[in-house]
Amino acid sequence: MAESGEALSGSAPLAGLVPMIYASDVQRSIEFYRHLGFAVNNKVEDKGTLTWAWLQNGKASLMLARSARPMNSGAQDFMLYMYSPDVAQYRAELEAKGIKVGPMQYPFYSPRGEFRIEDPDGFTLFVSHAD
Amino acid sequence: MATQAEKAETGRAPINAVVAMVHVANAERSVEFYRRLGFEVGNSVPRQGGPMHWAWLYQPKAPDWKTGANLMLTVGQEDIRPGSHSVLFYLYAANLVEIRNQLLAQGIEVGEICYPGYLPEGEFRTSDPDGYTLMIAQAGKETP
Repeated sequence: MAESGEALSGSAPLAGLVPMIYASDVQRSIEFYRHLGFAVNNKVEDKGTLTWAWLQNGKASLMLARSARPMNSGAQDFMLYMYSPDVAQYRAELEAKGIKVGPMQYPFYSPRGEFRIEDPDGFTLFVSHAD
Repeated sequence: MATQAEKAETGRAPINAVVAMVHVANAERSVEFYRRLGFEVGNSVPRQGGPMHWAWLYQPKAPDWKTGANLMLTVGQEDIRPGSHSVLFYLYAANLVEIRNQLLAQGIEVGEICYPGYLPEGEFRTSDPDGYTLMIAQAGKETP
């Protein structure tokens, strides 16, 4: 981020924030996110269909929940930023796995580069560099 | 979370963090709301003067802001559609009852604390000014 402010005394009221995104097919999304380095730490099935999963990639967490309504990939109201220690190498690895990756861009806020990918439901993922 | 862990891949994780960036109608209004949850603006565009069209929110009391709760706001180009969001956010509270009481005292509408099987220490629901669902859960050994 950031110009951080001075830390205040006491403990933070929140220890973490984890997005839970809806997926039309949780298993399909798991397979996609595996390519990005995520592993399944926990999951819930209902009559043989995955309805929820917790994915972990180091300290990065993400939840998937099966959507009860049709997904509209053109009307997403959020995106996810992922921070990689080596964004160029990571992009090359994803490309080698057959993931469709966007070109590396160098906006002022990401001088060492970022690129865009989409998950199976059309959610936008930006991968930028850590630090 | 995590009780049924798959064997983690060896080596360094390729991703350090996932941070959501949500579209909001009014960044200042959202900042005021998220301040009540302990967030503060760490960075914004523009940094001074004029309405914000982007902001990074973090928890200033976290031991390390990078591993605490983070969220980005961006003013959307399209109408926000409360009720049709395709994401919700789990916030893990150090003290669930206390943060709920604080929100109530500030006039924020919050749900009752529920104790579902997957979160026996409790969670409650609230929503932000754009209708994003926030599930606030008690932090524990198996959560962030």
